[in-house]
Amino acid sequence: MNTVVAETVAAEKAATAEDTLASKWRPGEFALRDAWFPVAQAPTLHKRPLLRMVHSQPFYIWRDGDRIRATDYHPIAPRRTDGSEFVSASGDYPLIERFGYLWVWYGNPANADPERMPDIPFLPQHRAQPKYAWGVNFFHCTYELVLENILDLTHIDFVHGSFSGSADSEEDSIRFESTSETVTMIRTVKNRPLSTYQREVLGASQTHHDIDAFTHIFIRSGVCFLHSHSSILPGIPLMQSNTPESSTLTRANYVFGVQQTQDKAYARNWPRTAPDIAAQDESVLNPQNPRYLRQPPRRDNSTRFDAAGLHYRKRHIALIERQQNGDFDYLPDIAEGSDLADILKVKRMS
Amino acid sequence: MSKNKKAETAGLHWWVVSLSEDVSADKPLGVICDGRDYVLFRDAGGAVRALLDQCAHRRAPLSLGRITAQGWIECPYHGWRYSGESGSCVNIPNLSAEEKVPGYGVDAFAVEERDGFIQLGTEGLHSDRTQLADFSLAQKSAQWHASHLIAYPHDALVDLLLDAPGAVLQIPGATILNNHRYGEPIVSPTTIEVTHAVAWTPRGKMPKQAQADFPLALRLMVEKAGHSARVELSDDTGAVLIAVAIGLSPVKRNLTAALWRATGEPYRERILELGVRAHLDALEIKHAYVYPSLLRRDSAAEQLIAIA
Ligand code: FES
Ligand SMILES: [Fe+2]
Repeated sequence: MNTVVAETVAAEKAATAEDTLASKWRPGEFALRDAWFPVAQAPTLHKRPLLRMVHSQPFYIWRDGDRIRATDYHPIAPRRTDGSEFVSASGDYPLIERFGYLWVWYGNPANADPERMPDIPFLPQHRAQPKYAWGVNFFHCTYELVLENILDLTHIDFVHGSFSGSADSEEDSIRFESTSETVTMIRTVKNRPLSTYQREVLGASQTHHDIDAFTHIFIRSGVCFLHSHSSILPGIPLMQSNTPESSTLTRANYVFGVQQTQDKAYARNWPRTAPDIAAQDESVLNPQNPRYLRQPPRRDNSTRFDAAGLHYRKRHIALIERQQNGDFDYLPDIAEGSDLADILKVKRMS
Repeated sequence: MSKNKKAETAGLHWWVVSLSEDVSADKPLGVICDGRDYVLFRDAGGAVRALLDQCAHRRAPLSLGRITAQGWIECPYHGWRYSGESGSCVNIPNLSAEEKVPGYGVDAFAVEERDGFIQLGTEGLHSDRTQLADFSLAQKSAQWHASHLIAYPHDALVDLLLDAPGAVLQIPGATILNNHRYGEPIVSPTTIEVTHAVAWTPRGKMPKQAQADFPLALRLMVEKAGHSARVELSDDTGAVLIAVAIGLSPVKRNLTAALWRATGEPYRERILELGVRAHLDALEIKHAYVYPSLLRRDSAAEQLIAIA
């Protein structure tokens, strides 16, 4: 969103140049640390502790009086270990409640800076969204594949055609930007045919629309924002957590910024599509996983449409290399240039 | 001593991967053979095609995709399309009309459809066709077929078939006597042949007293490498009542695929439905002696010749 490093992709050139590097990509083999993960929706925390995982590290989340704690042990079981480098002496992980989520820090607790938490302009900071606006999906694969999927435009026509409409648009251009921590992609589509779902369930009377679709991912944590502006349909932004529980399981907690539309029926209907859309992605992501995980290096073939995904692979590799050399810092290139609310074209809630 | 050595399969690269009726032009079929995933489908001309079941783009299984009107296979993830004949990518949906499809592709494999069996050459398009197995059967009045996945390793299953055919095959109403063979196995450079007695299964207990003569005989001809086997059930005049052709192939881990077709004439007004069991009989495996299977291994066969 900032434009310290901004790249506009012209053609296949970028795809092929990054291809060679991206073939070194090893998803699911390195746990990037020092980031906040929105592992649980705040309203789901009741009496019983919740168990969440980030890169196989257990996080028990529970209420201790007025306080919410995340520990590496269950509160009713004696603590059996001295804990890991990820917890304080008491066994606590850093935890923050914000945007209706419980965010835990996976990494060195001394580095747990609340400033590292993403700004989510379409969610209220101190209040959870209504129940119909959030939920969870699971992808049985490593989270890097989910992120690549999210940056991948052309699969939408194939995997999600029933929701998104067909590919026969007049103009379809992709632009992306990135920093050492994020990848942002913007797609402009003119005159895209509406899907049956959009016409029949969402009640759109027109046959075509123009769209500006916006995708933003955080490489370390997997958190992503998705938003699209249609010339006809109301738009509801989405935050999805894509938490790497392990190399075979990604937890996707999601929440919609339902206040961004005045159309109450749409605000209630659109979030209901989330499980179906996720199931469509799962149908390809799950079989993809064993074909990537700990497999001998193999070059994937790409076209210009894969530029954002390949760029993500490159940024991901770079971040891993830095962490392998003991550098867990956030680089200055992530400093916010402009207001995310403006980029997303949303009304700021927090 | 050589009994744990795997039988010599070098040089044989064809495996039965499907029966004809299971491959269509409507829906691709994913199969696994010797640990590798393949997709099978029929192209616009009805020819069976086999490709590696992994898209050249982002590795999605092509078998989850569909077959287009042109007879190409289309990946479920982003719709790249491949020709079954060569494995070349022939269409990428989002490219504009002026853009050329880059020279991408997936590995394509030779396929032979014959006698209702589909054999796949794992060496690629140029697999040596002289190594194809013969599954032809002289057709009788009735035909039946099936395919099973059996949780038993391929090489061991071939041994078991030779040592205790009753553990692998079944004839409702009759019992294959694993321990009662006619003569020594006949060993050729590529096959082993062995014949067993078959008795009617009594309604009550098996009689204690040995029977002197048996009404039926089961003749097994097993290819040493274990890609194919033939079985014939004859009456006491030597007339063949049932003939079965069996394709056996390693799937993955310890799974074996058994695909077979049978043809037969009624015997005393009924068809003896000889076939491969869907589940092996554990007690028969327990009681099986290792003998004819030893002869699959060259050194054992040489010893036998030396003794003779
Ligand atoms: S993975 Fe097959 S088309 Fe993309
Ligand atoms: Fe998707």
